[in-house]
Amino acid sequence: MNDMSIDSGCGVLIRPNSPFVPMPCIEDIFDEIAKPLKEFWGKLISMPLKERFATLMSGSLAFDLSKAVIDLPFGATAFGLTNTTLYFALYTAAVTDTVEGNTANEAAYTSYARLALTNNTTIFAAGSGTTTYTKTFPSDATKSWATSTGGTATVTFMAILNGNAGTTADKGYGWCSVTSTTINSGDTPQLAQNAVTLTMD
Amino acid sequence: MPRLATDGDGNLYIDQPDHEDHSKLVRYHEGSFVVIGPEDKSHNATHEQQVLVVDGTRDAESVRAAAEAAGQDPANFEWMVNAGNGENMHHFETQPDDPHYDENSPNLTKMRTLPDSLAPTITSHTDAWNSNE
Repeated sequence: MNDMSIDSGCGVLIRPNSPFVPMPCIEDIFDEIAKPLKEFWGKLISMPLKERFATLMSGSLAFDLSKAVIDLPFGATAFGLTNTTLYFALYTAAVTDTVEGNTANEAAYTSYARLALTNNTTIFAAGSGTTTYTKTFPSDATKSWATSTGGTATVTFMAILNGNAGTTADKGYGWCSVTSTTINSGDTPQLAQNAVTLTMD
Repeated sequence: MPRLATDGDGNLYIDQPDHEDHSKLVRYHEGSFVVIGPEDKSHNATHEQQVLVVDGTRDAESVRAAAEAAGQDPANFEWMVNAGNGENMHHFETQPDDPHYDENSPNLTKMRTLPDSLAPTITSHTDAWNSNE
């Protein structure tokens, strides 16, 4: 018997023949798409995997957050990821859904520090949409990382973490690829207002 | 020595709750980080020469599909494409020169991690600067 089968009690066996995916992992984070275009993310759900692969590479929620989000309604498990402040980290190498605070190749130019944003509705304002819910941030203003005072870093990925211990205690919320950007001394990397878009069907 | 964070408004500060100077503003100065007062110039105000916008990556196919899904003419949004034709190819898959490239992994990626005993001081930390000078 299939472990996921449900016996109705009258001899009829309901046997799933496809994965049950209540919240498909296509919660992409990507840069500033014009408002009308955001409906597109909903369409991706029904696309064959091969067709949507290139887009999926642009970003995703991290495993830590995906698990917490699903455990909350299914099992009523309290949301266990600290989130009073969210930290935006830059990387010089690819990151994936397993990103956490000890992931190697985080930017390391002199004076680099994670961008700490207070988790409130000023910076993470309510989103919009029904069939596809879309949220953009930072809602209030452009945000700056620390100005480099030495060394060089070519960043290609960004991740959002729930802590700044620099260890596995910092759980991953999400990640995305960014345009290859070389940061030299005197440069200030910035995240434009509403640069990050998060959608979910 | 402590961990650092930045508040998005140009201020660098100590972000380590068990440190005596937790939440105090600092600024890089001649090889170290010094605590500054609220009236002093911030770290970024002191050192910034230019701003670089960290932009997301978008390929032609996803922009086209987005435009069509919204009933828009894709030609009007070609300016948004910044990945493809040799540009930002890491958007599509991990590139061979990427430190996390692994040809044996299904997604060509094997992220490396650092031990918790070491990771906190590698970056975002007052002790990290001297490895980059």
